[in-house]
Amino acid sequence: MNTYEITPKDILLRRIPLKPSHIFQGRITSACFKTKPNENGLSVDIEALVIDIPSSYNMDTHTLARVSASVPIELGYVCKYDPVEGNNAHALITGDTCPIAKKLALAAQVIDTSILDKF
Amino acid sequence: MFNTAISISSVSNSTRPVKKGSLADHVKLYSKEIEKIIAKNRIEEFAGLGYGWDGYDGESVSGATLELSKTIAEIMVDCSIHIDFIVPLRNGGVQFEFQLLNNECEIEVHPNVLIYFLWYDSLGNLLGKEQITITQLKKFAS
Repeated sequence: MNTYEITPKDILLRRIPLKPSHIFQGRITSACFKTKPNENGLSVDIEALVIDIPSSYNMDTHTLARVSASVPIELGYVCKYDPVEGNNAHALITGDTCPIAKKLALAAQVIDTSILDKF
Repeated sequence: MFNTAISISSVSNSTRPVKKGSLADHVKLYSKEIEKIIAKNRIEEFAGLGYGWDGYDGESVSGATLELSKTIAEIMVDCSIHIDFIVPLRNGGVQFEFQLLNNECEIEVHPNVLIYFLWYDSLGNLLGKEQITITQLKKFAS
C-alpha cells in the first residue's frame, strides 16, 4: 500500500457544489466541511497527489476549495492518507469536523480555475 | 440575498397590507413578504437533491425538513433577522447563516427535525451549540 505523510505544508482539496450555491459573497459555507454523524472523517484530496484536476473533478457541477493542512493539524486533528479505488489522492481529516467547520471554511479558498491550464 | 429571481407581483394579494399606516410601513411589510418568498424558494431548491449531491455522500433533504425550514425562515424574517445564506447540510438537513450581536450564527435543522443554534466568534471559533425548539426560537428571535 502506498504511504504518504501529510504535513502542515500540504494543501487539501474539497469539492464545493455549485448548485445549489455554497459560496456567499466569496465565502464558502461551513456546511461543506461538516461530517455526517456516521462518518469517521471528512474526505479531502491531497493536492500534491492529484495528477489531473480537470479529469478528476466535474467542474461543471462543483468547484474546489483549497485549505492548508496546517489548519486542521494545528487544531489537533489528524490528517490521514486514505487512498481509495480510483482516487490515489484521497485523505481524511479524521474525527468529527463539525466543531472546526467554520474555521476550515474561513481558511479555504475557492480554486482559481486559471491554474487548470497548467494541467 | 439569494440568486433566486422573483417578482413583486408574486406576492399574494392576501398578504398585502391594508391601506393604513405610513408608506414606510407598507414598504417594510412588502419587503418582509418578498424576503420570505426568496427564502422559501431557496429552500425549495433543495427538494431535488439526490444522494451524493455534494460530490460525496450528501443525503437528500426530506419534505418534513424542508417544511420546518420554511417555518423557521418565516419566523426569522418576521423577527427582522436578516438571513445571509441558506444551504443544505450533508446529513439531509438545512442550515441558516446570519449575524447577531457581532456573532456569526447558524441554525441547523437536522433530518430528525431537531433544531440547533450555533454561534461563533469572528475567527470561526465555535462558542456554543444548543438544541432549541420552535417556541424557543420565536421567543429568542422576538
